[in-house]
Amino acid sequence: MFNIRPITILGVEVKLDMLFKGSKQYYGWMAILLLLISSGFYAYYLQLSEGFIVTGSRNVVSWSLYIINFIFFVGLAAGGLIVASSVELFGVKKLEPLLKVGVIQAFVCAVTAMAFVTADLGHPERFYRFFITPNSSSMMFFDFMILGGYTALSGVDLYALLTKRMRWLFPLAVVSLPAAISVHSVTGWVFGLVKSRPSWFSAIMAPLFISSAITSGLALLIIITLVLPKYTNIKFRDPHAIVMTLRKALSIAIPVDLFFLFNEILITVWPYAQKPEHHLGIHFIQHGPYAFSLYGEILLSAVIPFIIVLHPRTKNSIKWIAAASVFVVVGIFLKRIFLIMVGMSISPLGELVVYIPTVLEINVVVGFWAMAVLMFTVMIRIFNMDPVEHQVTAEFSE
Amino acid sequence: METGLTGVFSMDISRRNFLKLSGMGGIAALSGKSLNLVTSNLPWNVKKIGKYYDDPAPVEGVHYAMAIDTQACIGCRRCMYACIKENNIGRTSGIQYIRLLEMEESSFDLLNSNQYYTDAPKEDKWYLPAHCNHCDNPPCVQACPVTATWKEPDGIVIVDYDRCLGCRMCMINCPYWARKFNWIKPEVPEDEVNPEVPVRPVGVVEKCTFCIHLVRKGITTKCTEVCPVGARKFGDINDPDSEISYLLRTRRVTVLKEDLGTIPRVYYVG
Repeated sequence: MFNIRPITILGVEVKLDMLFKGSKQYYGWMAILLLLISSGFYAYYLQLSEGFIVTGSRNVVSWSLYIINFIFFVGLAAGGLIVASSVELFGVKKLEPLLKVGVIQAFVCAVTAMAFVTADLGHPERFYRFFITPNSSSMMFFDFMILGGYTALSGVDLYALLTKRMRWLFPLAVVSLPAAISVHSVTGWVFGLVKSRPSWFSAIMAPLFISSAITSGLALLIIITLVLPKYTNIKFRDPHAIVMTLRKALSIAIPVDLFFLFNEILITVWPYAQKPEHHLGIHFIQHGPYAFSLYGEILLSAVIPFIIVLHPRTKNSIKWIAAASVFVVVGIFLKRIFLIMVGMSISPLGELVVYIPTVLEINVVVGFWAMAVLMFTVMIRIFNMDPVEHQVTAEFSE
Repeated sequence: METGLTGVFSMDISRRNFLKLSGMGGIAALSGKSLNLVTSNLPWNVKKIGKYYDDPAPVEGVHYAMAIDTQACIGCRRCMYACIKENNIGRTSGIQYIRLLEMEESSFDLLNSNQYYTDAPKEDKWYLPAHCNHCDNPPCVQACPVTATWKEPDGIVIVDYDRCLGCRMCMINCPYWARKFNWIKPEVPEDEVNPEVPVRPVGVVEKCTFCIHLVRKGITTKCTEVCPVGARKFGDINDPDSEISYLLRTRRVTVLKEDLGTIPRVYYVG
């Protein structure tokens, strides 16, 4: 139909023609995504022109669905690069086929996280203020800066992989692992340093965010590993081995995540430790409309998948592991709802408020999700996804 | 030959003392306050844009504060309504700078307060007006990522509506729930617009300004003026002869959430 040829930009082969070659399934998929995206952006335009009145947030619950999605995507982004860089740093040779996918996951999720946090701004056009009047005592400022840097870093990482600059990989991994940890720590500190909201004001916030990030990042990688060979021409030589390696990591990440959450809840409910506002937050979640987020999270992101990855009858079954991964991703999303609502629902003057998202707000969120999926689809199609073959430079390689 | 350089070296700084000094510098660099100095000293940050607050300029040596007599307050909300009119707060915005809390007898627990009471005063309740405390250690100012809010030399914490990103970081960090967001474009009837106060755009945060347009001319705040029982006193705490200094000297006062270390400048006299 069109005469589009692959082009090469800065040594990266971009197969633009692949965007227009595909089955009916592929065209249908892209059409649905584009439809969702355009409806999402129209909703976002309405929000910009009418004001945030069209969303469900008000003065008490002033950060809501966008911020929930923001921290969820920062988590997925951090998880992707943590896995990709551990291939280099710890010589996990079995995960090597996932290098490109992991880096693309990190990049796409970081960009989507930035889109979500921009959607939460009343005046996104004043974004340049971050550069001309920064305030270095604000954790939000660091969050923006580090998220931007992280996106750039995953872009460079992808560039190195696509242009086969193997020598770059090890130094990049040395930088990306701490960057992935810090991008999510800083996001945790945005909440953990808020002394006016006692349920957030906790030293466990950053560790909890990181453990959730790693758990959900690993689970998403498992899902991607299993889905890609089905619907694309990307094939992994030994998907079973990849999934089993990721499962082992997951079986460590899940209990750590649960333990951190347990710590956070313990100080709010133990008889002589609980402070009134802190306890009220948990009490409201337990008995209020958000009870599903707390219990759903404990069941879906911790208890059920933990049993699946350890039980001898299920742990070697790809199907069960896939189910566990879906549970983890959904459960971690519920956890993000819990984490935001536990602090947000109580105003500092002691008022309890229930937040219900509006249809328009959900429309924006669905549009941005579709944008993330579209970015991922396009990137794995136009880039050369052949597995990277190289000698792992780390000393403890197999 | 004694040169400047040897003069420096002959200073009695032992290695141990030097390490101590540099360690202290490190700690200072890590503490929030000096971190803030790094960016607040950048040339473009030194002069705040302050378009809304340059005229009238702050009076030198003045530090404003307010005292509220909770024994006198009858919870009539006249201050709240007068404030909405004076400060051009959108009539449909659902924002008030002042919130009246109906408190239980023998309790200072904000969690038991009720902001939605319909008749007052009641025998067995007392009333707590809550608004911006114009803290001397304001978490909202420290939390703003783009320096869109700051403390003026006369102690008033203000927002620059031209700089505000609308990220609502300050709202979340305020322990007094003093900051409100313009969820909708503020609607003020044309004949009721106060020309001395800007009408805010949609999507920015706003808050009590201690009626900055009045107090810098020597007039007291609107809420102080309209209070039917004279429960509010406003003035300069640096002036020992002012009414508020006399109150703070002679009466036992309290502030909201003193344990958070925000150093509020709204005192409650009980």
